Amino acid sequence: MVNRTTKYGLLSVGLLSVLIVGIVLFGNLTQHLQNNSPEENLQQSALPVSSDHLTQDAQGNSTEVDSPQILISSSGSLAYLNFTELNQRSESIVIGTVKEILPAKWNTHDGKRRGDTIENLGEYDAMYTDVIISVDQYLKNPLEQKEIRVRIQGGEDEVVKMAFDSEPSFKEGEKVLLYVSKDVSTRFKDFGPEHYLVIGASLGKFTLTDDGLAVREYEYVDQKELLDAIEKGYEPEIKSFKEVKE
Amino acid sequence: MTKISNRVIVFCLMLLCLICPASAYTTQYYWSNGYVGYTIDSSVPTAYKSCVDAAANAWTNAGADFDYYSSVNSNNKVRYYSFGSQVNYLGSCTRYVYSGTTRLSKMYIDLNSDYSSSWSTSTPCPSGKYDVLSVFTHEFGHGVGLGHSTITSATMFKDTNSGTVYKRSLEQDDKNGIIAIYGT
Repeated sequence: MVNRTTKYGLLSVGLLSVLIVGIVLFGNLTQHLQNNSPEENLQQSALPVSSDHLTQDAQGNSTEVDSPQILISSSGSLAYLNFTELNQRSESIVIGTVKEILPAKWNTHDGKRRGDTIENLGEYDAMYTDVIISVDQYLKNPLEQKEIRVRIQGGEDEVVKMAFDSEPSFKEGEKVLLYVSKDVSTRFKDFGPEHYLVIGASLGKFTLTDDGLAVREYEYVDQKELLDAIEKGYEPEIKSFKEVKE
Repeated sequence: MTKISNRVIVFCLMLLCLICPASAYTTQYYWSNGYVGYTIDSSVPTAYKSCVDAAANAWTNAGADFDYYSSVNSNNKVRYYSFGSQVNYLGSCTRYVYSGTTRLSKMYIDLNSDYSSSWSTSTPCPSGKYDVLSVFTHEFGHGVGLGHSTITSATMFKDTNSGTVYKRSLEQDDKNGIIAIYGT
């Protein structure tokens, strides 16, 4: 049996809900009836991709920087790869620490940008950022290197910020588990020193936390279970959460 | 308390449970004119060209004050090329804006030719294959200025499953997104 206080409390919550729904519906209706420009509509609704977001994706650091003049944002459709597929597609699986994030370059003969305007950028020009990983352990196909160079699409220079929303991000000092393969893409393989790509984009990179988790975007796995799954070849249990634990 | 007040309480609780977020789509950019030309590059296989147009038409017919139109000499191109065999990108939409504005200047919509053995235009889409039209429709959604949706059934949801064709047609959330940018 529910007492009167509880009932009145629930009734108040319900009436408040009705009020909120009414405000939301009225707000949406008003917005659609207004003869706003698309720019005004964007300002009233969700936020555009911010330059801080682009900086974080490429560099993994949330630093305030003067905004370049051009923003290039690439959104991709990814084929989902499970752990078995990540394992099959990767040449090697490494555990290591992010030692250094190098300055971004362009896939041009001199690594530099071709022009200063959108019109002057080459059609297939793209930026990349190399990340040096100090290897602690190889879980598959040990390589000779104690450090490997991992390349991610995107980066920033004085004029352009280029971000790929499905690429993994890195921070110096971060402990990571990566599924990697040597780069054979026509877009980047011939530029710079020998390097590797993260297989599966953001799916193939895990941050290893001090409390025993392996975390990727919005998902985590128990570290011990992940390592066991890699060794024995089964699918570990993936759990989701809204905010990434660090 | 009477039965009526109990029912009012139950109704209000149900209403509370039914409160949905105002939207699940995300808006990022826009075209100032509300109409955008695109050119299909010669690299796109002939069999896929109708999918390109169908994908564009899905957004043109979404109920917003926006049109895609096919052009022979637009800077906005639809291309088919190799992303790299290890890369699991099915497609992408690359958008160019000048900083300080969300107004789009140029875009490229690309389909990964490394998946050539996995692309399908059939209905239903065979198991293990990826539907060309679904991926193009998703990418053209980025082209109008949308980001990813949190609605799993929406065309603009970030993941694309093999063996499915549901992303060919826009969900209400997708339509709400483009209308939010361009109005009706």
